[in-house]
Amino acid sequence: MSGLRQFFGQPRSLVGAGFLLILLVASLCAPLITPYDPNSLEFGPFMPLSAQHWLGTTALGQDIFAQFIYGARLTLLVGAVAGLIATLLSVTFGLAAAYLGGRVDEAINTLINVFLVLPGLPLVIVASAFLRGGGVWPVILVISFTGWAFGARVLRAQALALRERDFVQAAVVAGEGPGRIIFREMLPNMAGLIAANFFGAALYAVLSEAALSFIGVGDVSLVTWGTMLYWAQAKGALLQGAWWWVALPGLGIALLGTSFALLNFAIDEISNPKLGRSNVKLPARKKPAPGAGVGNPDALLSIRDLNVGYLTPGPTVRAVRDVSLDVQPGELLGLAGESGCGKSTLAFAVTRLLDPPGAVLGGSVRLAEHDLLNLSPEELRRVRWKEFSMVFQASMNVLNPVLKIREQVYDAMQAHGVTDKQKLDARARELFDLVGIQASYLDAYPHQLSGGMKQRVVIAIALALEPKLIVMDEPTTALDVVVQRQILQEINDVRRRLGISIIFITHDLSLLVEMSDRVAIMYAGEVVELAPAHQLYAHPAHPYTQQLMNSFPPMTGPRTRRSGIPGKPPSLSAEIVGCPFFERCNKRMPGVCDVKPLQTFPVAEEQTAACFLYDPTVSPALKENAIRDSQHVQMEVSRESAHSANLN
Amino acid sequence: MNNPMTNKVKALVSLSLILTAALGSAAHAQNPKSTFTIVRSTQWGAQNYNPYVPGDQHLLPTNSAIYESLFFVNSINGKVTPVLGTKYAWSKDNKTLTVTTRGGVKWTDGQGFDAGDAAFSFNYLKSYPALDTSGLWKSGLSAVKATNASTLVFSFATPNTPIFQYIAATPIVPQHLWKDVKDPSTFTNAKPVGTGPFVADSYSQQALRVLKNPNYWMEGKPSVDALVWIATSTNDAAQLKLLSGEADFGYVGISDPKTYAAKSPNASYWWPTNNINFLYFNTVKAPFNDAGFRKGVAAAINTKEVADKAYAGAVAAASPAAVFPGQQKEWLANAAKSTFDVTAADKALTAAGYKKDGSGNRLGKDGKALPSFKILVGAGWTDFITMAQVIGNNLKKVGINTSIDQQAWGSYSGGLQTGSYDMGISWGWGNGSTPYYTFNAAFNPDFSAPVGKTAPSNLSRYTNPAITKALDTFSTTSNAATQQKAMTTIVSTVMKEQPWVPLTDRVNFGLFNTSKFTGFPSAADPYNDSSPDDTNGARLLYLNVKPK
Amino acid sequence: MSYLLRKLGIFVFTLWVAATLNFVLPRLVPGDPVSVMLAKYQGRLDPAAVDALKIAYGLNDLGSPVSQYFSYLGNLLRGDFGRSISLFPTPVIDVVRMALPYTLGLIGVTTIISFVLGSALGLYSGWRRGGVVADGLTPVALFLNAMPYFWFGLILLYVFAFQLKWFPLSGALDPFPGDTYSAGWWSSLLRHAALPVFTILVTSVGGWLITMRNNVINVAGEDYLAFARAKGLTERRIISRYVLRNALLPSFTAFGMALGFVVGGSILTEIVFSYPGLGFYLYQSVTNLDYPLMQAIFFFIALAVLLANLLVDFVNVLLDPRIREGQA
Repeated sequence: MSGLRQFFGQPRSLVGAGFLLILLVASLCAPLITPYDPNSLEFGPFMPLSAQHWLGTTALGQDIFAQFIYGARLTLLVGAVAGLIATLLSVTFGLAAAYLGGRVDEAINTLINVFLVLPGLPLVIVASAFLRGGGVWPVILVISFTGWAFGARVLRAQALALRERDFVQAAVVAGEGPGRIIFREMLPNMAGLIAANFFGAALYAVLSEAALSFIGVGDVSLVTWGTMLYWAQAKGALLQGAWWWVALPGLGIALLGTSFALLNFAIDEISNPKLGRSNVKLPARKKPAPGAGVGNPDALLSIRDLNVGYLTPGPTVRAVRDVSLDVQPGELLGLAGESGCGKSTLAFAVTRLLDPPGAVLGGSVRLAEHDLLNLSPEELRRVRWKEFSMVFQASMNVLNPVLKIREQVYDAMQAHGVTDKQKLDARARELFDLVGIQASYLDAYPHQLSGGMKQRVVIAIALALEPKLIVMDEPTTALDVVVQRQILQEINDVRRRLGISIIFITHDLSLLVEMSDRVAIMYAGEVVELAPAHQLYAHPAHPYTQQLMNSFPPMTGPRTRRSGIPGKPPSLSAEIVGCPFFERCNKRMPGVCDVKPLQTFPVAEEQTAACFLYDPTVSPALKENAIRDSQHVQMEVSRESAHSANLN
Repeated sequence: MNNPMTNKVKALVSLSLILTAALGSAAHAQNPKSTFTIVRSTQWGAQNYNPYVPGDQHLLPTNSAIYESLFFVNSINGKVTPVLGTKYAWSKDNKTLTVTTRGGVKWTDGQGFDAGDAAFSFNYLKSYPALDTSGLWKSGLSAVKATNASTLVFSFATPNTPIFQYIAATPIVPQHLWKDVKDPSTFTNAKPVGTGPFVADSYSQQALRVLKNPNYWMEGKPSVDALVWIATSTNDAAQLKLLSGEADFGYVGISDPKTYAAKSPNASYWWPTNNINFLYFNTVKAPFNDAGFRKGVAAAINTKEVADKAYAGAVAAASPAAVFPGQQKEWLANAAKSTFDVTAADKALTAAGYKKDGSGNRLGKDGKALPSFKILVGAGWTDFITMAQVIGNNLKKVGINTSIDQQAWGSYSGGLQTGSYDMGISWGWGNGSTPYYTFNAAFNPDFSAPVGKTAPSNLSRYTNPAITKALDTFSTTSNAATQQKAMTTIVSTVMKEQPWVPLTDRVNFGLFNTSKFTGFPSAADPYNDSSPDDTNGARLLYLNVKPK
Repeated sequence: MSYLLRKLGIFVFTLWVAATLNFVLPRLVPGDPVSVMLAKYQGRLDPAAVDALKIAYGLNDLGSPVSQYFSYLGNLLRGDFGRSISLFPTPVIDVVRMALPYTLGLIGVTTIISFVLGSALGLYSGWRRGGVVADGLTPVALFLNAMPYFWFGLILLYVFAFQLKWFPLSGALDPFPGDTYSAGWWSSLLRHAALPVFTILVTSVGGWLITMRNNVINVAGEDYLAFARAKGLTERRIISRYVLRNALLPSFTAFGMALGFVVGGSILTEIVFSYPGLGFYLYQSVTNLDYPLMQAIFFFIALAVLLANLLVDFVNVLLDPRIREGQA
């Protein structure tokens, strides 16, 4: 449904569908639009444009405008039917190959490849020269049978990908029949692609019909735009000066083709959101007075009142809300929270890697003397990697697959002035040694490395210029526990040795508590608690933190079953009144937490929490009540923990 | 000073000079003063001056400018122009043809031409049947001898006087060169030696040139120094070259010659009839096997409208007798009138047993509705498709439904020849200086075949003992009166039986630009038949044109 | 290695399919070339000439279809395509040799220019997405791509050759262009090629643009691109080594796949401009039922497209290390 809305929200698809509709209606209502029979030879030849004959007449005395309107019928028919047959063939072959697999797939794939590379039009010309029987059908069939392969290739790839997806696998395991799986599970998910494919095939069909008719291979006694061109050419329309006889049908074909292409394109964009254009205009960020003096002057990184949002056609998603954080030199700041709490968005905003529709809506970020959010692109480029580097969440895919590792280690340094080959080589070896990879892997390609090795390479690259700050966004999530430990150990060693500050983002709280100097907990785009790691572990202040700690096995001691946190976070596109955790909080104070504007309160030394339990203006009785209730609720919650939303 | 280095340089320089000279010579041979330019709307093939390979396969000057034949027979009026033969005579029994050849003619390599060369040429075709594209040796010819240097005697096992047209047009080659040619069907004859008014000069994909033969036997001829053929690939482009004066003559079947002629005072055309377009009925298929039905259909067709729409008024409707206008005076006792009459056609069909149902659709003799008949035409033949459209409109008025069956070349000719069609539009598959050629090709049982087998040219598969006998009488006599009587029988029988409907004339497409030359053929001066540019008829044009 | 072997296998197989289609298709048609010629001469050939022509063309004794097929394949392997029927006795291979330089010159060169130009524009359009020019390029490209080649050619012909007379109407050279490779010859060649080149360029550039644009946008969303930006690489380097190298891979494969379509469209261009290349002769041979010529030209077009695809596969190996390892 949202696909449809998206479809009609685009000017492209509107133009395409609109033109198609006009054409369809006009051709169906042809007798109402023109009084003439397109085949009638009753008029004089080559009559000029006039009120009776808007586009004059042909050499045989047919009304050109009538031919154009009636000609649209067959032209549309050829496009639609040939497009349909070709699509049907594409779907059948593509799905059969992907679903049946093995030998069948091999055979169909070879067939597809053969049809793809055989030059289509020469084949059609040769083939249709031998087809008996007139009319439009031989043309449609020939076009369909030569035009299906491209779509089949695309659909096969898509179907292969779908077949590996969970829900299809689940259906297979559940013992559903192939028909059911194909029609219920796979086809609906391929609808967009199939529709796009249909319009692509229709475009091919219309152009092919025109081409065939033009060289006289089709049935030129029919009236289509293609045969109009044929007759115009055969009767020397251009020599007679009747250029419109040639211009109009060709323009019709081009416009019809364009509308098919626009629809194809529009549907493609919807099924492949990457291609989609962001229609939203980025608002100007409310710039604070520029200057380096923001926030704590001792801190290396100082984030103040940062607001980040995703601009969607609907309400803006406010993913990061009024966040202020400082990172001291040499400090490892942990950042934790559930998925979607905004921690990665925060990291991307701080490093200015946020792509539209993401946008910084307000606030400031200062790194050393750089006002990060106000740097020009070139200034930013110079600061990047030299002052701060980043290790991405999906490190598996951050290495360019077609370049050697060496080049990707070098170019980070080269971009910042290190050009001496020997120095580059020495540094690269040193870095690889540091993260524990053999230097010989420098000359490997990314795909030749395991996930853990790639991760180390990325960390090595992040360390290359010894930046003051490294932002690490779940650097080890995809790795197994042993490798994870090793890498984290190395990160910590390096940090201590080089005095680098690190922002370490993860949802793994226990890990953070172990590694970090300080930990910030994020919930629904806000930092709800900030405390030294040991303090947070020993005395988590915010109910969310407490519940979070509870949902993890302790680092030491017996592993017992832990509860998740029931409920789910609030929608970030909505305005949140009071505490965002209110709905899920086991210590909530109705009338307080859901009413008052949220603030951050000091809890202990260096520990703050955004919780009204620490609001000195709230009456202690209320607080105690809430805490007492929570112990009671805890029991019940444990029982239904199986259904609760766990972290990640 | 005589060191080896300078020697090398000298050698190099002289080598490059030779190379340049060699490359240059081809293009700068000599700059002819008056060049007569012929434009073609089709591309020619590789360099081939072999006069015996058919049509397109040799280059255009071969049979029009380089090689000559014994006579030229004008297909529109039967007039015979002497070339290498000066006169001819049939014996009384029509079994011997004696031709006197011209004296004082030299081949372009300096050797003399005599009757021996001519005899050799005909006998050469006998020893290589693949070259005998007129089928001379299959049509009664039994021997050709030169009895002396100027007398050529053709002997026939059975009389066949119409064959003269083909004998007359056969190119004559020099015996002293061709006796060594062993595989003549693939021989490309790169250095042609002929007796004609021009000699081959240059060849490229874009242009061909031949230069005046300074020793040509006809004194003072030709009047132009060179002929050049230029290639375009479409009729439109050729027409534009003619209009702009880049070309003086073109044999191009453009769609509207009247408009062409109106565009410039120098532009003119002469499109004389030398064939006819017919609507063939497949007479072995019901209901076309019924002469009554055929006659009704024929009467319903407005051939004037057919001609007007198909050829933009430049070509006339055909004579219902199927005799070309130029031959009617000689072969037609009284002019045949158009049979077009919708009311009469309607009545005739009903009378023949084909009644109409309530909604006006024609029924078969069995009372069942007639099917929609297909009219077979060639794909790309816009004139035929237009004809079929008009015929379809005409027949609808008498309750007969048709559709156009447009087929690519192979299916089209195959359909006509194997008899799988209902009605088909095509030209006369034989034609010539007398109506005999048209009727012989169309109705001789020798050229028919059972359905499914290929009939060479009897497309309607119609035979009639009276016609067969008359054709035989015609071909075995040289007596004009006997021939005329036989022809009257043929014409009247065909008109009565109506195995076809003569639709429109079919013409030769001579287009001229007269800004630089005079002497073009015309209806007033039909010295040739507006022949295509590669025939012995075109030779007369190239001899007759003079710079203004 | 196995990748290339596989591709080579498909190449040989496809070529065999093309050759077989080539053999079968002409034999499905009723009638034979000789009757076609007879018909074409419209009475200028005597019906009795049928036998003579059959002997001349070697059509009198054909043998069974199976033996014909094998001798056909054998001749193909020896490079013997027989003699053309419409241009008899010119060996077919000579006609191909005559036409091939024009087609390679026109379609080969133009297609490469078009691919490079289209890809460059696509790179721009994809990389600068959101900009007025960059986004405006897409609908324009779609329109150009949807234009029938031959129609655009006709319009150009009418305006620039017929009305303005800036360019010649047809053909590849003037009647007497001067010495081959002389300045006059070149100028004649280029003047004749200008309109066909422009036609193919304009109508095919849009396709490459769209393909490249989509690829660039896909690549732009890849993590390695964000990483490259995070590294502070210059834009020039990001485009050349990250975007282009990766976006070109699918574009390149698409190039191979689309070549068949492009060649098809170019054939029509040759027909419109009467450009004496392979497409023009293919059309002529189809209308004349010149089987040997038709077969040879179709075979050579298929061979050229297949070779281009094979080349694409080989270059892909050089460009994409993953294929080299046999992973793709």
